[in-house]
Amino acid sequence: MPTKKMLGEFEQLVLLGCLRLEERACTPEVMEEIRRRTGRDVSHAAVYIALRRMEKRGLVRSKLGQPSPEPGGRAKRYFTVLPAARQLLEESRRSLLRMWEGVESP
Amino acid sequence: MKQRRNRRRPPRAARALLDAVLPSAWRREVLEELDNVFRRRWREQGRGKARRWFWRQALAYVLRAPQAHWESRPAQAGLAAGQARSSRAGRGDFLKRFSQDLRYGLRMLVTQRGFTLVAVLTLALGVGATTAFFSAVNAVLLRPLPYHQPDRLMTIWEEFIYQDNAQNPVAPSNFIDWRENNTAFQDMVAYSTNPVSLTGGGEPEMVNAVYSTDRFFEIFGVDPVEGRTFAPDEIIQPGGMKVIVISYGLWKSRFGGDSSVIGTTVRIDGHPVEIIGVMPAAFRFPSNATDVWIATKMSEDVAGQRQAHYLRVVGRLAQDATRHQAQAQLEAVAERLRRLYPKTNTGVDVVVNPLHEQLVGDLRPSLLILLSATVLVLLIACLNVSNLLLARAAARRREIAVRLALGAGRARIVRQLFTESLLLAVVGGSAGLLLAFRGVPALVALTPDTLAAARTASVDSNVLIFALAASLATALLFGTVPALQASRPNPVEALKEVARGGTARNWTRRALVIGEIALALILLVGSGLLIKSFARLNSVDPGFKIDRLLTLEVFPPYSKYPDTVRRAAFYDQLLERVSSLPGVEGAGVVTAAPIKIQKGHMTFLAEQREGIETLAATPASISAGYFAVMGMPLVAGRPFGPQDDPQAPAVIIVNETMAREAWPGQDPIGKRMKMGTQRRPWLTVVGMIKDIRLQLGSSPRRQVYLPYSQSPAFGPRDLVVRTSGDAADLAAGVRRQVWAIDEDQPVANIQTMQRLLEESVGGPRFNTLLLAIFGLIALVLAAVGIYGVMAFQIASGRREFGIRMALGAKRLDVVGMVVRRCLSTTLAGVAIGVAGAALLTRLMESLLFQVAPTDPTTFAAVIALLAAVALLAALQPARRAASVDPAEALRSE
Repeated sequence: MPTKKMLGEFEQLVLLGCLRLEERACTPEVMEEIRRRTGRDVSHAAVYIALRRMEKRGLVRSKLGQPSPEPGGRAKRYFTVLPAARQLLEESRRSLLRMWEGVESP
Repeated sequence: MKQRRNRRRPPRAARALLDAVLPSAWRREVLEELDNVFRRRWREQGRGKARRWFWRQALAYVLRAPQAHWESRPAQAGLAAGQARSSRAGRGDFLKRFSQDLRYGLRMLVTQRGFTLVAVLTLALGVGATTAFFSAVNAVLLRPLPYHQPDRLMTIWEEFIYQDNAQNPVAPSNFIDWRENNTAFQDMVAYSTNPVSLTGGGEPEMVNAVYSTDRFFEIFGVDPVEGRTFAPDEIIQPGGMKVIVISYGLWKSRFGGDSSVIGTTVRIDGHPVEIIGVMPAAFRFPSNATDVWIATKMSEDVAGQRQAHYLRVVGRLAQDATRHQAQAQLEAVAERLRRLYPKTNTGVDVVVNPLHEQLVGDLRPSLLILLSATVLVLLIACLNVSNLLLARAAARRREIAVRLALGAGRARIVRQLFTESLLLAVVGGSAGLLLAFRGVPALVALTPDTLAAARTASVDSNVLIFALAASLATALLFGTVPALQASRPNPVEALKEVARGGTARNWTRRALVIGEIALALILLVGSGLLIKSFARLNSVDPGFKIDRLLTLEVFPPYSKYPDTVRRAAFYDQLLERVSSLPGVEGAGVVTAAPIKIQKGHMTFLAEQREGIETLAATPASISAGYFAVMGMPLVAGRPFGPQDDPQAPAVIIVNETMAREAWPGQDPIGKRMKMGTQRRPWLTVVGMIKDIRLQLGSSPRRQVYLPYSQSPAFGPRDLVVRTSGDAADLAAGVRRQVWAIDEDQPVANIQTMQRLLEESVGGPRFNTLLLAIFGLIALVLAAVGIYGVMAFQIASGRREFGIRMALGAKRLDVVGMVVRRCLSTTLAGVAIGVAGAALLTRLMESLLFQVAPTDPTTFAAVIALLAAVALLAALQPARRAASVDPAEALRSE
């Protein structure tokens, strides 16, 4: 069983995306944010499943928002990053920085 | 409705795929999000990119389906009892392993690109082609008619016992007696069709009118889209009509689909009538060409007639009545009428047929053939996939044996192979789904106009599910069974057997290929026969000159030209004007030009040395110069001329068939016959004309020609014009000449004879094309099958080839050996296929023209083609066998 403490790279990307988007954090927006910032074309399935998994682990919370005003517009699921996830993100960042210390960029 | 169609929609097949794989708790939400983004992408990047994006998203969900299903399960509150926890963990492990297997399988598929491509293409063709073709066929053959409870609707005909004619139109008086003396029908209507002129609101136009008795629309249970249908007090006698209902097609073409047309007045054959309703597009009874419905009441005169048989009758069965009860009741009525009116009703019986059967009756053989072809293709595809999977399983026996020896569980290995097969089936099935959705519109575009029902075809979900299930079952069965066998508990045995190169499985695979070749042969023979028949049909000489011939309908209404003299004067003037046009070599008129639908038969009584011979023949009323214009040679006697005026003795010209059958072995010139009944005057034969074909696919019929100046019963309807240049160029000029005589005279169906001929073979061309495509698919699949078996045999027989070559066999010997093996497989398949084809092609007899169902040339050509393809498929494996290095091959074992 993998430890529940660690965050995978993809999870980090998704969580950071949510944090950047704040209250606008829904799957399509997170996909777009990751693409814009990293150039990686991620699928809806990958992002959505990751978010729902992290929701079960108590890292994010979600709720259905108001239906959008356009015709046929429906409610989207919005995600909020919880403090536990923030803490894990900080830890991951610190670990990485510590590992980088003394390694020269080519 | 229109708005919905215009909306930007994601690819249907991808959406269906998503619908199937998404966990139900997430489905709505995910689909909506994806739809939203799809619409945005369409706006920003265009349709193509948006659709590709949507497909990628769908495939991503397919690949992550197990993960998604696991994550979508509601989290359990806290940590419950240990048991619950461990079962959850077990489930989680299962899904995780499944996910792993899926990824491993995917990697395998990507590495073995050739195998994957062939398997996926095969599955896609099997599922896609089958579904697309079946959907099109289904739309024509099986879809219910667009009427209320269509299975209760029956057509009712008179049956002429002594003439072997089971479907004769009905005499008015018989219809009335039928209607009033039965309890099996809730309602019964009679109608007749006639072209009429429509004037007012645009150019004069010839339209097809249906004159019906009351309650015509009620019997079908169809409501108009605009306005209303007839009220009881509006149903009056013909000539006194005042209201009409028009078809959707006419409403759109002539009135621009404007609702204000209700209440406007137009003229039918010169009578002012009010348009009171428009029927929906789907209501096209009795034919697609129907433009106008007029309700009439029979006059006393008409209602008393038992001799003129011209009405069509449709009835709706009463709630609890069956077709057989209806038949029995009407037979009793017919029996009584035979006793009461022996003069007119002797030999007149009645026959009740379901309406649907009546409408698709002619198409049934060709549709059934196509349906069987579809099933054959699906079967071939399944055989092929089985074959490929067996080959692969055999190639992997060593890998499996090694893994077992290293301690892998049997279940684990079977599950692994199962997952791979599943993956293959899903990818192939999805590709087939795509093909089906693409294929149906393409097929619809190919259908001839006569198959109008096919134009409403859409992908049939039942068939799609069936085809998908068939391919899935095949893949799973043949992907997993070998795994079960290969993973039997004794790995040592298994390893040994692999070393010897298992022979038992080779037999299964050869049997599969033999089956495949046999099926392909049946299909190819079928399409070969149709192609040959189509070629024959196109090269047949109709008996008249086709090029530079223009045909058009000009039928002066009886209301304006009531008698023979006035009608003849109209035609005289018309022919004179048209003939004098520059570029016209000659013009003539005829009741119905060849190739067009002919107006049925009439009875002729031929005078013989002793007594009278009764013969049915197709009559035509023509102008004097008609034969010259058509290029039809006179065999004996003279053509009609100006001397054959109404006052002169009545004359006729017969064709060779009529002459031969009426007066066998005698000169027909000077012989006499009567038209219809004994009371009519004698007509003298003055000429005999060479036979022509009225339809390309049918043999010449008995024909009788009369000069229009002497035939009041049925006048000419078609004008034929022989031109010196392109016939189509003169259409406008000819039409102007018609309108110069009478500006209200409609002109319809202007067409060159060339075009008419092409249209008349539209149905056969469609059948041929479809079966040719099927044949080609079958050929490709069979080639793939043979290649697969041979390639595998070579690969697993390397040691054998090595030993043979080490012992002195030459490369040519090895090639010969491989080719012999391939040929023996092919010949076995061919033998079975020929037997099957000989049995099955008999079913297509009615579709073939001048080609026997067991045509030896076609059989020979197909066998040669299959053998050539088989050899070609074996060539590369043979070359590989011959290039085996003996030392290398022996060492590697």
